[in-house]
Amino acid sequence: MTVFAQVVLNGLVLGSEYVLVAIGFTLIFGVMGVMNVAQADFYALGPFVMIWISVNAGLGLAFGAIVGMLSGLLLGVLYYWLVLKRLGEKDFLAAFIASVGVSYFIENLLTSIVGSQGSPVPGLLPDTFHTWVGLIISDPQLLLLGCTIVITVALLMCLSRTSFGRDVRAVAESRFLAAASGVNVKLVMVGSVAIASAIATIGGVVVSSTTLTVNPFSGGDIVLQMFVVAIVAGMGSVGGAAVAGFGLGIIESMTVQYWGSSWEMVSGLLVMVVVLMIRPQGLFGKKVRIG
Amino acid sequence: MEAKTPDSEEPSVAGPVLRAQGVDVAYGPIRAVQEASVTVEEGSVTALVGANGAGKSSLLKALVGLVPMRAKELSVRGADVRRLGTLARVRDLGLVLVPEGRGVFTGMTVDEGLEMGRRIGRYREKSGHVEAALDLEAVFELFPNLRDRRRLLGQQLSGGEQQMLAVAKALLMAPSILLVDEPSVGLAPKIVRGIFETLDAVMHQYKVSILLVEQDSKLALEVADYAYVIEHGRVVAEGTAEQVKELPQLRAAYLGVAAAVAAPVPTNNGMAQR
Repeated sequence: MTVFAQVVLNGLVLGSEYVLVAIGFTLIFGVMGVMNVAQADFYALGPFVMIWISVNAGLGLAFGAIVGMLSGLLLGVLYYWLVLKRLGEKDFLAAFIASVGVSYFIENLLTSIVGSQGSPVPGLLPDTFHTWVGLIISDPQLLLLGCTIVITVALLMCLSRTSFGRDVRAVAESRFLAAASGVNVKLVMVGSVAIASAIATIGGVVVSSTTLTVNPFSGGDIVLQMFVVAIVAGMGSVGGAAVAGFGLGIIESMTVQYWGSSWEMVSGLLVMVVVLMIRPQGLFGKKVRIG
Repeated sequence: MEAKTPDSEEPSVAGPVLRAQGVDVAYGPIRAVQEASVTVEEGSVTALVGANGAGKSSLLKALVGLVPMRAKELSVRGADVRRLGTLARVRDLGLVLVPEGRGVFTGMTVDEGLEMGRRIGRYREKSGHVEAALDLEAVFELFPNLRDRRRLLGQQLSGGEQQMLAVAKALLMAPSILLVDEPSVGLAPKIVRGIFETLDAVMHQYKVSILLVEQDSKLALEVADYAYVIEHGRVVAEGTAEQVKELPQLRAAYLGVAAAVAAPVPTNNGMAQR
């Protein structure tokens, strides 16, 4: 029983990583209709910005961590302005391919700066372990899990309770009707991309604090899981992506424990295929895409 | 063209609230609207009638900037709006569209939808575009049904209630001109009559000018002061509602293209022709 509970707990920690990239990915899809592959690469950028500021520039860990986490806001605005704004409204496929291009660009740019080896990341918290009714979890893992839950709840509250969130839902349902209702559609789009990118950079910083390493392909490595989570949840469903992200983490963690680590990826994809066969719109997919 | 003043009240400002001259709308190679000119007098109801696919809806969408257009002139109360985006046209000039097929967000509650409209109304109050925008209470008086449905989602409303919500939301936006697109589509005649009566009441009570697109020309001409007949993207005739009622074109527009081909339209009927 303790082993099982530990496996579930490990799954939640692993799943946090997926949740933090997938909710931003699905948010951008809901608002803009763009499959933004580069979402995962913002996740790698966060820790690098933190390293550059706190280690290379010597400005302190706390400052570096905050800048690294929030760098997504600025990068997201830049990304929207340079790429999505120009392509996103015109052509679904063009924006998708462009985001693949941006993904390669970021990965190779980082490689040319730091090399393809992993860079050591200063942990935000000391790696102390706690034992609680037989379950083991470290401080950085608790931080990751806590951040994921707080960010997910905050995003859902923002969508359901604030006027910006109402505008986001309006644009997600019908850009045409939203514009006719006096919603600032461009602001909603740039805001959503900035929020989604910031969630990814925060995720990257917090996750790298548990792994203590990051490399230019850290983002690319979880693109597949990001897709699986968003598709299983139903594209555009933020709450669904959180549930599916934790679910995938638990499934992978169980597969490793009871089946063998070489099957880790297979189990998630198998679940995706089965879910899509039964519910092609995804578990939480519906006509209204966000909420 | 002689401007027709509505008989019930005198407009405070001279000149039309909306003036569009030589409007072209094209979707790729398809020209949906060609050289259309429409004027809406302050405090009047102006109708665009014509067969399905004649370009009436395209013209309305173009006026709000939701589809690209070219125009020789497009002004609201004398101000050129051609270079403005949809947001500015809605918020600053009060060009408010009630789109075809119920302009209602299915995943939003009635309250949320009304609040979206109220926000624009507040903006227009604050920035001095209007003296006072309608408040929720006034809207609930016009549409008592909505009061009990405040917490329901758009998709839980009946078709008639959705249309009421769409109009209510638009009114809260303190429009200088309300562009209403096919309010009768898919609704029972009794409900349609109710909505038209409300539009009529709104127009008189709040002095809102209305540009109404309606396939059911008989219905439209009952509430309209002035009307334009549109065929194949062009304005083919215009006149007071009484004049347009008598037009043979209307019969053609009413019955569709086949009738127009079968009975060629006379070129002059003693009223403005294009």
